[in-house]
Amino acid sequence: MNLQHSFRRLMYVQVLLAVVAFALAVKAPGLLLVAGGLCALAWYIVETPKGRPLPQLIIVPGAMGSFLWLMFELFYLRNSDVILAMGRFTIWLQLVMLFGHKRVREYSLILVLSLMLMIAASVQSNSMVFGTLLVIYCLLGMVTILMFHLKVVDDQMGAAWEAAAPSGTPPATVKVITGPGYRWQFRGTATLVGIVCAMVAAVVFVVLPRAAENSRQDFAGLRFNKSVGFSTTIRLTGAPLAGGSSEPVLHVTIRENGVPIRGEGRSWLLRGAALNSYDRRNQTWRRDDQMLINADAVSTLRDGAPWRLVDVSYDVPVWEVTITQRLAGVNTLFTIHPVSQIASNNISAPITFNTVDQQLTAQVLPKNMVTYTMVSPQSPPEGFFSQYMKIPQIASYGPQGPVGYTPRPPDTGGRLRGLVRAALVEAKIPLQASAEDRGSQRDLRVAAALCEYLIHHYRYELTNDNFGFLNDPLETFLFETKRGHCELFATALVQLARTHGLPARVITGFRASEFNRLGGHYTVRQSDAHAWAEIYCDDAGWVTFDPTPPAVIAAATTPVRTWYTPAMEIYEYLELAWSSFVVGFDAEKRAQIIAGIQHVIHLMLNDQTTWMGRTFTWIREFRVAMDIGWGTYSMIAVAGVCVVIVLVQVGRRLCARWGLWDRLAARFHAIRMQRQSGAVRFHNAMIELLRREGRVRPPGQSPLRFAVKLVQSDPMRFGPVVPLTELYYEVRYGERPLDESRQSRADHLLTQLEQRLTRRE
Amino acid sequence: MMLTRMPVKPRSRTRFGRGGFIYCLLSALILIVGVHMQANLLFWTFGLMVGSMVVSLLLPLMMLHGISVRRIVPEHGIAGQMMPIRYELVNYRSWFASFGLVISEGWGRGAEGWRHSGPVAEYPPRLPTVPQTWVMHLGAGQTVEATAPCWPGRRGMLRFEKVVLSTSFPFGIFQRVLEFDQTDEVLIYPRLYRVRRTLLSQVRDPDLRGRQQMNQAGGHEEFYGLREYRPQDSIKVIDWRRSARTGKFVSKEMTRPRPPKIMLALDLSDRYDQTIALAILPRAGATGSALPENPPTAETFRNNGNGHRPNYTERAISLAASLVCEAHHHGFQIGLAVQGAPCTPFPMRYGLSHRTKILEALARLDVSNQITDATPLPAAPSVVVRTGRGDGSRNGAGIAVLGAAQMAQYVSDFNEDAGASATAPSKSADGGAAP
Repeated sequence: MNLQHSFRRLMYVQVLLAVVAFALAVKAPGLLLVAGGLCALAWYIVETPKGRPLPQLIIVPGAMGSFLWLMFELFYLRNSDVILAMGRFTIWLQLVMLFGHKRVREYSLILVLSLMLMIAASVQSNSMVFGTLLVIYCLLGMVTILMFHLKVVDDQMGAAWEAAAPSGTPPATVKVITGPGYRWQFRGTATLVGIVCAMVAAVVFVVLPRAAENSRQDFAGLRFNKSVGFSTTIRLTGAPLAGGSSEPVLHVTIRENGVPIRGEGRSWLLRGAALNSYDRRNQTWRRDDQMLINADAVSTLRDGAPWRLVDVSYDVPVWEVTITQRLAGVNTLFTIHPVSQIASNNISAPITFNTVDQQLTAQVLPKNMVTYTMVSPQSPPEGFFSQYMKIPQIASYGPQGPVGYTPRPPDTGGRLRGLVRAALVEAKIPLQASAEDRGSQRDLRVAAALCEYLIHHYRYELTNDNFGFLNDPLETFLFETKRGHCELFATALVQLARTHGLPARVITGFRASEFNRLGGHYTVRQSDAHAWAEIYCDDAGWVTFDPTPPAVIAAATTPVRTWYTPAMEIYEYLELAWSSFVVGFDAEKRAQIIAGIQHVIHLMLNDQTTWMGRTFTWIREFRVAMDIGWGTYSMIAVAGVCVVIVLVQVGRRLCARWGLWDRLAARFHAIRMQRQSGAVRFHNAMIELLRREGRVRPPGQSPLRFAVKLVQSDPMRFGPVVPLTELYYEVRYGERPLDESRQSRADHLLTQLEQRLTRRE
Repeated sequence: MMLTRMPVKPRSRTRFGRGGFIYCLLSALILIVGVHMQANLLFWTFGLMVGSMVVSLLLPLMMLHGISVRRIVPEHGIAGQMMPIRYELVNYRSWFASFGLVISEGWGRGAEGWRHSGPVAEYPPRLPTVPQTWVMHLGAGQTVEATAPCWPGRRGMLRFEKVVLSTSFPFGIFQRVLEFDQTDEVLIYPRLYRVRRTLLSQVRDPDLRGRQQMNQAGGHEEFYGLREYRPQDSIKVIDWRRSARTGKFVSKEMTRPRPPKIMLALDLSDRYDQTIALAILPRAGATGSALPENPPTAETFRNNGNGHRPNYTERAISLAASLVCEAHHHGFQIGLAVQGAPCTPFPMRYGLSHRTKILEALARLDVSNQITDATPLPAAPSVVVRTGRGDGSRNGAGIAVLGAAQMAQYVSDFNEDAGASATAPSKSADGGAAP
């Protein structure tokens, strides 16, 4: 094994891997390009057969320059994160050292710098790609360190031999001494080391205590701070919600009466915030707290116990929705409308339910990944929404109507009313309500007509027009361009409904339509952010209407399945697992795992069907029967264990003195040899046949040579001896099994040999 | 060969390896940062580092379990020349290979030795550094042999006490050390130089009676006598005339040539005076046997010139040993007598065993005690090697006198520093306590 060359190759790969990981973590492709190029150049200049390291005259100023740049960046520019600056400094220092002459100390320094770079990158990123690189780095680093250790010993030995040799005497060359099979044994040892390290690391990872409040996870915010499309305010002249990136933010698993829904082609509206107030000056939708009566109910979800918002028993089909939310900086909990109960075991902060908005929010911003499960009736039974008012905390407020959802928008020239009229005419709904066509049914039909009108006469586009400084985006959308994004559609429906006198509000949330078949969940990305409307009807409560053309938005948001879709699904599934169990591992998960282990141990110790359970039961019962305390019992147990240890040691020594182990070893050896001879019994039979013929193999002759000699002496009689001997070689030395075919062949040859020898007689 | 059990149970201990302390500090730093930031990847990193520590503690235990080392030393060594010490490592385990095994020698620590009842350590050490070697891989049930070179600095008996086997594989955080008690002794011959070609002819024993042949048959020189023909005899030696006369084959016997002889007298009786005088004479500008007015003190003796004390006694012994080897190589009969140190005189003989005995006697020569005159020099030595100066030519009695102070005149590869470093205290890798 060429230790030096193998180690240098591994070290360069490790340095390059750390640079790649850091550049990925800080999203700096330029850094990756420059550093990777310099790394390759260093290999070409220094490590190739004709390469030579650069003189110290260049290396030392290079290292000093890196340090000065770090100082300049930290104390003069002051616009850089300390960890980022240190990471860049580490990279440059490593690269400078790669160009120089390297001894053990320099190699150690490069490896330590590489490790520090990975630690800095670990602080910066928690993505699964980085995690994969980290795992590869750890594996590679382990092999590199093993090689480095051997190389250091080799170098030290060479230096010691050189120092020991008298002056003028050429030192002896250190020869790397290895036994047979060292390559695969080295790999096996490295694998064993890796497995043990990983197991210990897993135990340490679980055992280490975590902060209960996650109050110091500010860097988690940096990691999870994805620019989401969802927002609790909507600015119509801003960028559309659905124009975000494709990073997953929600993973939604839906069950219908306990049966998981694995359907594709379906879409679900995940309700986030309800916005009631439109500011014409800023063209912004927001929730105006002044216009709403305080109708917040507060509860804390503990240990997965559900919070029943509607405590009624009904036999309607329900959706059970489990949402894993990865939105840092957003305290809104997403629901499928309407929600009847919610449960979670990793939201430690109290959560609030506003009975008017029917919106769930966490009072403290979740810093980590949260998972919660809710139940929603597929079609709310009669009186469902009135049950919200029976929540004890807000019962004193009395019934809450749609206060704050009915201000009519300014209608210059009655154009909005004209639009409403056109929609009703198109839906063949009388403009004036008759005596028998009053109430919620008519309201529902009007709302549906308005929604249908928008769907059919307006075009969905993600491009946001330049509405101008004085123009109202809604009017521009409704009367001029007639195209826009989902916020404009939702705003238009709400304003048209309010013009007609119906209470209405804009809802922001997500539209889930992408189903991951491997994980069995819907993946919601920030580009799936959506807005729609809810219109209040007296009997039905708040009814959802999505005026955005469904076919168009489905085509825009539902991904087309291609050949790489399964790979993407696998990646996202693993990424979710990575985020859940590695990055998002917190105090609750730790407590769950430890409780699970304790439970398993408890089961094992109390299971009367196993010997362990019976033993522990006997120990407990023995203490009760002896009527002694735990202290005395423990002392007796310790004394008993000590006595057993002493007896075992004495027994071992006596056995060693009497040579019992040697005799046992010899016995086992004899048994093994006997079994071995049993496997080649046909050969013994052949030897016995030949012995009867007076043919015995001389001591210095191999069996095959003996067989060949026999056949040469009398081919007709001893012909089967050679194939029998070859068969013996296969079984005895070739480690071939004496299977059925070989056994039958041996029997056949033996019979032949016996017949030939007998015939002669 | 079936490997069953280890023959001897060694003494074992575990200690921090190189950089182990720094590694622990780095792990603690990562833990602090991880706890502060609650970053799970840092917890994983810390877990891996703890795992590495655990592996580094356990793996050397497993790797050195069931391993035996046996030292194989040569019969003798030569001062200043490389002497290989071989180690036979046997892995008695039936599974699991060992990696990165470092083998070195161990002696006592301090004057009392590493055992309370052990030998007293000698100073300066006979070996300038501790012999060590390494084996990268030793598989289960395998036996390998490794060689550690060492350069003995002085003649005498080199004692080995224990073999130290250690490994810090895989990460070097902890080091596991086994100490095998095995005592060996190697006799180190004096430093041997290449004697100049003309010296032997100058110092050989002149046969003043002019006889060059021995009075023994078996050679090809001159007629010695007749005897019966033997079947192996060449036809050239048949005396045909006498054979025709007697009717039987008769062979002639010729005398053998007399081999050259050297009777070597090693005079160490004036080793102190001559050493002191020769050490300061060059500076005083004196010649001959005149001593300076102010006799040198022990301090001036130690610090003359380059700070090393030229040990003319050892040089004289080395010169004598070199002459013995060179003379044997050229077929001389050699004899040796030593004055000033206890040594049995050797009569003039030729033979490898004879040469070896002389070299062993020179190697064991004890010059640390008082000068003894119990053994007088032979009456007519061929050459006298003394610690002082010599003239290199024969004196009136036909005796050549060689002085250790003029080694460069007699040998071609003399190195002043090498001779000095043989006695200079140098760093020993194990606390300077080599025997």
